[in-house]
Order: sequence, then structure tokens, then C-alpha cells
Amino acid sequence: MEPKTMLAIFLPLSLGIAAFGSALGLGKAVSSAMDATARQPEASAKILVSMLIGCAFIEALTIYALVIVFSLSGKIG
Amino acid sequence: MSNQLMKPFLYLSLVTGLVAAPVVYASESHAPHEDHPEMLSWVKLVARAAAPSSLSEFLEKWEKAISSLLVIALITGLVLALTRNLKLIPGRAQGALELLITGLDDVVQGVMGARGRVYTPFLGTLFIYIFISNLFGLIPLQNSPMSFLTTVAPIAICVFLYVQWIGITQNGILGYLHHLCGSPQDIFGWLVAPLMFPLHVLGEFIKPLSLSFRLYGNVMAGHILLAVFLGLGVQMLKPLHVPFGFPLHFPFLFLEILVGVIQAFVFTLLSTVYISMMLPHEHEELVSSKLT
Repeated sequence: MEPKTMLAIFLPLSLGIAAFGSALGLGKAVSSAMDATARQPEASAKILVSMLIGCAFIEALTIYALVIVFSLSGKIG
Repeated sequence: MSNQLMKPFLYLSLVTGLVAAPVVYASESHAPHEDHPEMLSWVKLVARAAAPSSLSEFLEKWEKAISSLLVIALITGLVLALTRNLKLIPGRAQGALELLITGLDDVVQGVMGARGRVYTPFLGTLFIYIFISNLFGLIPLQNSPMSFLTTVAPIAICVFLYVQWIGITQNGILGYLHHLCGSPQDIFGWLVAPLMFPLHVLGEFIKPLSLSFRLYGNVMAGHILLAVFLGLGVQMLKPLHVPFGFPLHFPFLFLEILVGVIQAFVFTLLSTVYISMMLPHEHEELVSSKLT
């Protein structure tokens, strides 16, 4: 198989896998944030801030994969 | 959200859809070497208008420096104008600025304790610079300086060098190396110290990489999202043969603002945590619960 074909198959696939993993992680993070807010609604601002920070970290892993896709996508066409 | 707040966003998206969209469309059709659609900025527009001249080469080469210098000039001018006559009982503008500064101070002190006050200027400047440049990137025909790796990497390198400098000056050179071995206290610590040393050194080098790629990837992906939706909006009105497009990208402006604020905050928070990990600590908690 040519390198271009392999890149064309695996680049979007890798991004999909990264997005799948981070979706699982984000779902877990947001769900525990909602549990904590339901348990103690007056702390919801602090919980929101911590949740946003945690989500930014998890999201960053998918963004790394996206950056690689962008930088390698020129070699396909 | 109130009507007062929606109006400027509506105007912003209308202007972007009307003005920038045909420009994006032109860039998509005339730039076959681009892998992904990008939003054109006024620098690139002027460079293309003055096509084969030395001015256009200068602008193409220095586009990123021009954007970041513009943001720096904007921040400096704004702050100088607002702090002209400092009063003891502040007016509205000075009060807003004080709110921002005390908020940043609280964040830094929440992570580092009261000794963190010394580092608030550096970290606060990071936050303000990244935040304002992300907002700046939403202006029509303008790219955020944080959407280029050439502007993001120097900030991350500055943080990296500053953290190492703090480690060396606060702990002494021997204490710095001791910290890099994982701070071994007992015999087991000293036994695995040769193993921990390359691990910690690698970890120190990965930190600026992850900081810069997180910020660059988020902002760049946001701009590409906006460019794709601008292109869709233009193609939607193609059968009408009008020189503007439908502002389909309107909801994503809000997403961009949110992402810009969050990424600036995460960058600042991570830098604070790195500095606090480098300072001599006696196994106390890194992030206290005062983080609001």
C-alpha cells in the first residue's frame, strides 16, 4: 500500500479514536460534576470552575491528535 | 442573555458574514496549497492587493509578529489610558481593572499561598495577553496571534525558562538537581534517583510542549471551524449571485469566546502550578480549596 493511502485511511481514524476516548473521559468528568452539584447546589460555581479546567485538560489530548492531522494532511493530496 | 448583550454579537457576526466571507471564499479558491480553509486577515489581504512588491513580501513574512504587536499595543494603550488618574475611590473603568487584578491575585494565591504574590505580575500578564488576543481574533478580518505556533511557542518557552530559573535561584543549584531526582529522602529514594532523573528532565521539557500545543490547537481549530462555516454560508447564497454570505457561523462565535477564556485560564493555572511545584514545599497540598 502506498504511504498516501495509509495516511488517508489512518489519519481520520486516529482522530476518531482520540475523540472517542476523550468523549468517554469528558462524560465521566461532567457526570461527577453534576453529582457533586446535586449534592451541594451552593458550591456549584466552584464545581463549575474545576469541571471546566478538567475538561480543558481532557480536550487537549484530542487537540494534539488534531494538530498532527493538520500537519500531515498536506502529504495526502 | 439580554437583548443588550446579543446586539453586538449579532452585528459582529453579520459583519463577519458579509465582509469576511467572500474574502474567505476567495482565499479558498486562490490558494490551492492550503490544506484547510483559513480565515483571511487584513495583513494577508493587503499583501495580496499589493501583489508582487517588497511590501507584500514583508507583510506575508511578518504577519504573525504584526498581529501580536497589534494586540500588545492595544493592551498597553488601554491600560495606560485607564490608569491615568488613579483615584482612591475608583470609577467604573478603574474598578473593572481592579476586579480583574484581584481575581488573578486570588487565583495565584489560591494555588501557591501568600508567597505567590511575587509571581502574580507574570502570570497575570499571561492571562491578559492570551485572553485579549483570543478576543481580538474574533474581530472580522483578524486572526488571533494565538492561532500561530510562532506566537504561542515563545510564551511557553518563557514560562519554561522562568520556572527553571525560579528552581535554580530558590533552591540553589544543588537543591534544583535534588528536586530533579525526585527529592529522595531515604535510601529507597536514592536508589531510584538515577531512574527518576531522566524522567523528571523529560517531564520538564514536555511541559512547554503541551502548554503550547493545547493553546495553539484550540485557537487554530476554532478559527478553522469559523472559516468552514463562513464558506458554507457563502455557498448557501451562491445561486443568488450576491457578494456576501449567510452568517451561519454565529453560534460558533460564542464557542470561540468560551474556548478563548478557558484556554487562557488553563494556561495561567498550569503555569502557576508548575511554579508552585518548583518552589520548596514541605509535602503540603498543591491546590487549596480557595480556588474560585
